[in-house]
Amino acid sequence: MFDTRWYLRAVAPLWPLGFVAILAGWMTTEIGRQPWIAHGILRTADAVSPVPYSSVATSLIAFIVVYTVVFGMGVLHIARLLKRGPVGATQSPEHALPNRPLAAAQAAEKSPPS
Amino acid sequence: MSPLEYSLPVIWALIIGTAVALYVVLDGFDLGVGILFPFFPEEPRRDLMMNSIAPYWDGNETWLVLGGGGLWVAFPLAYSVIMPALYLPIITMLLALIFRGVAFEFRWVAKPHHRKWDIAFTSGSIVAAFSQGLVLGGLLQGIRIENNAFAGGAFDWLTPFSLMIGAGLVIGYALIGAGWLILKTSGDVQARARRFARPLLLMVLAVVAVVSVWTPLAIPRIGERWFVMPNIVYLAPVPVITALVGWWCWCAIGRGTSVQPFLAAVTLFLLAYVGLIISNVPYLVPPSIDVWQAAAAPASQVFMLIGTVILLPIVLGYSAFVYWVFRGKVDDKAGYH
Repeated sequence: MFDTRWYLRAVAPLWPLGFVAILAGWMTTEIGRQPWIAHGILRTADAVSPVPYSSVATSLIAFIVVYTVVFGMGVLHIARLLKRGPVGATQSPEHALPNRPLAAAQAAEKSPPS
Repeated sequence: MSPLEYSLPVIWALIIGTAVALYVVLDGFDLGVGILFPFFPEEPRRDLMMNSIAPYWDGNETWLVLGGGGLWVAFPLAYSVIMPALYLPIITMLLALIFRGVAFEFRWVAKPHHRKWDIAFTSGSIVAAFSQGLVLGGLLQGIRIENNAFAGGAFDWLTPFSLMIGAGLVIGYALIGAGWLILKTSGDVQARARRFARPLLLMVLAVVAVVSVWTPLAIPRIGERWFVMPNIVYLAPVPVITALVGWWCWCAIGRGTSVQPFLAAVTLFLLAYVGLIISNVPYLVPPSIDVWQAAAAPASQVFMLIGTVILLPIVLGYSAFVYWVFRGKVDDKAGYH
């Protein structure tokens, strides 16, 4: 699994899926509960604040622009970090607490099963 | 009004008031460091400045969440009036905080092409501070209300007064930021922060003086609060102490220890805050909605109070712990991003 070339090649570009899953779950709850903003208590249409449409439209566009820029740059930076790969040698902590997973892992590393 | 109905809103007003004060002082210094960025053009200086606030800034901003969230659950009427009335400056502040927040992370990743994130950091800090001043100014000058709802226009907050408060807050945050740099850095950055601090202090004192003269003259309610007997006697120490603290800050910037200029600047901010509270108590939305009118049902307030009483000491505890862990001066090599 760790050195099957075709498999790794297929898995490598899948890192955004976690973000997609979070956003999809969020959209499911928010869209799915309409027309209620508090289910059975208050309808979204009745909860609207006295803010003019022009203000709401302006802020919505501003949010879309800002999120596009920030998300776009974020995706770019993450992709660049992934491409660069881990920098420096991987280090293992020197003193793990006894009876913890880390200590067990270190012990296993020192005496590989024969 | 039962004792419970009287005291619960007072307790909540104290909690929210404390959260806002903590926010202004704590996020004030890290926004201030962002505002001062243009005066320190060299990359290593900027790295140092950013490292001096990196462990704290997001913790500092949680007090804004407690202030806003607290207002929502404890005083829903005030929340439903203030938020629509000040919609545009509040949204602008949030967008600015987004840019500033991501700049902390992206700036290091983007190196050596990090210039755009320096700009995002500075402009985000300035716009966020200015918007907060607009919010404060808009709230102080009064909001038009009919039938317990906001009844004004989208730009009611835009007046010479709110613009002045906005500029004043940018300068004020820059002063606390300079105090923070004197406290947390040494060498060139500290020396330059000391040089910038005095003009900033003079400008802050000028804004405080203008507000202290302007608001009592423009708003009779505030004039009566301060200048009627016996209030004038009881309240006279506030401006006197403010002037003395201003003098202390001036001297401390010149030859005080590392910690004194920061302490003096923070004290100055808190005194200005106390002055604003004296002018406006017991109103949450001056001059129409007071804390009792705006209060949620006692059951809601008690329910939220139980959670707050348990969680607030924990939050205060770990915040203090973070400041303790990262105490002392930052050096050129360490990074906490």
